[in-house]
Amino acid sequence: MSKRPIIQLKDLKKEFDGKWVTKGVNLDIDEGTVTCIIGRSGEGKSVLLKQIIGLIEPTSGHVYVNGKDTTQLSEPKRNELFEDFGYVFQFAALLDSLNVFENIGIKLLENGHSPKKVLPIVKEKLSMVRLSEDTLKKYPSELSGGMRKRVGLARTLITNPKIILYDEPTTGLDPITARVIQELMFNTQQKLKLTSVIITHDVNMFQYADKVALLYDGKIHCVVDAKTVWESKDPYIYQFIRGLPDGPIQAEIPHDKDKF
Amino acid sequence: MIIRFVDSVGRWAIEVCRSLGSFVLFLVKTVGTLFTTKLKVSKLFAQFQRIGVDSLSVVILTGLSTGMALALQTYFGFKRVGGEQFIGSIVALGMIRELGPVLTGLMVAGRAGSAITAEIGTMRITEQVDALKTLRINTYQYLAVPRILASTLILPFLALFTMICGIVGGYIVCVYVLQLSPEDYKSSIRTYVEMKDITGGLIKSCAFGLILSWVGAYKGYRTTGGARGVGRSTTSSVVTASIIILIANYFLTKFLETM
Repeated sequence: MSKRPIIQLKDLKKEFDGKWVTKGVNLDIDEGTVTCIIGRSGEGKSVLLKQIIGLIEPTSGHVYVNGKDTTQLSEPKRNELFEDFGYVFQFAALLDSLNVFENIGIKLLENGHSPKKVLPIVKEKLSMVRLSEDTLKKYPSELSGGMRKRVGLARTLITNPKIILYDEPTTGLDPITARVIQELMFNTQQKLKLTSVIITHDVNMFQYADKVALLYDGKIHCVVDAKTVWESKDPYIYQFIRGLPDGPIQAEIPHDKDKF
Repeated sequence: MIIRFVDSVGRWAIEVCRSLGSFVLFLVKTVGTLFTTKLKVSKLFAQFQRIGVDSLSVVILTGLSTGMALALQTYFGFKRVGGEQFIGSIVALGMIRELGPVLTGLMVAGRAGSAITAEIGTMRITEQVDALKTLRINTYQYLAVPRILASTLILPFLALFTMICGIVGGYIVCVYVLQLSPEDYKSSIRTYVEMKDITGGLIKSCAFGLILSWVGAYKGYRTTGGARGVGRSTTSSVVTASIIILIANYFLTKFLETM
């Protein structure tokens, strides 16, 4: 059975101070799938993700969610549509003045629910991300990088999203913690039948993904099946996932002229 | 050459209009949010504490020192014409109508206004504001409304402290340093200070509370560029709020006189 695209990006462009970051992105994200978006640092991957969820307004182009063009909707209608979205930030973006309980439960607490009512829900989400209840009273500054990311994921899960956008979820983590986070994301995705879009540089993430899209020069260069990505003959994909300095993708620093 | 000059002036004018528009729109949205969403009383009281109670020591010191210096300066001037018995009214009117509200506004802009900018600015650059948005939490309701409302409501009380401390400071100098009659000081205040002077001073401080928190929150919201950006926004917040307070003071004085 063919899956229907839940998110469609059509000719999405973004300009900052005369510099075009995305130059016409076209991409379909199918419902219930995991899509990894890869690309060099500074290529505009995070900008692209933020355009999908409306944190950054595109200069031109369209973002369709369930067939509705979010760029043409009024703010309340767009907010309603984005209720199904969750966003996991690169550095978790936890509110540093709030403890873990308040961070995870912030959405419910702000909606007027009592802390007593919110506590069991927070505990449930906390166990989903495999954190003990001892962490509830801790502040973000007292948590490790991996714990922060897990709290960030728990905070996202509290809204029961159908689509989660991850911005470099394993960046800066040691390989073991990165693996734990990957499995956690994948298990959550399977259990809740979510659609996931993951910005990543971590090639290990491909084993959990359905599709891999390469963002290059402000556009989606190609989309390949994640299961066969390592056999891909596309020279850009080939070079990027192996981290080769030679190839069609120019390295940021010319490797053969380095003089220190 | 001329075309380039006109072009740059035009760009500057557009940028000024854009900034002003976004500055005013920020307040419009905040006020709109205040009247269309439920006010979080606990957050409001937390801001009363941070903007008001925590600024008390600063405004008390400001009021005392200003009142004492004003009494001394007035004495040196009035002694030449034999008008020492009017020092009380000069100190009181000066503190109530002008110095109390203005100095309180400037001191709180430096202390609490900068803190508002630094806090929201840091939240901005660390994506905490974005996180609130992705959770569909109204950031105006969460960040701007409690700070701006608390500042607007608490400033008159702080200004009142400055005024009282200023008058007390003046009294201490007149009675214990200059050995003048305490009765002259008090009766001069009773004779010349009217209720409208006090309400005018309090209205002014209300406006200054609004200005300093509005500028503080707006500058925080617009922060970009990492730690350096936060520093830049904080400095800009204090300078801008102080300038607006000083300009607004003139127009408010004129306006209140016509009432």
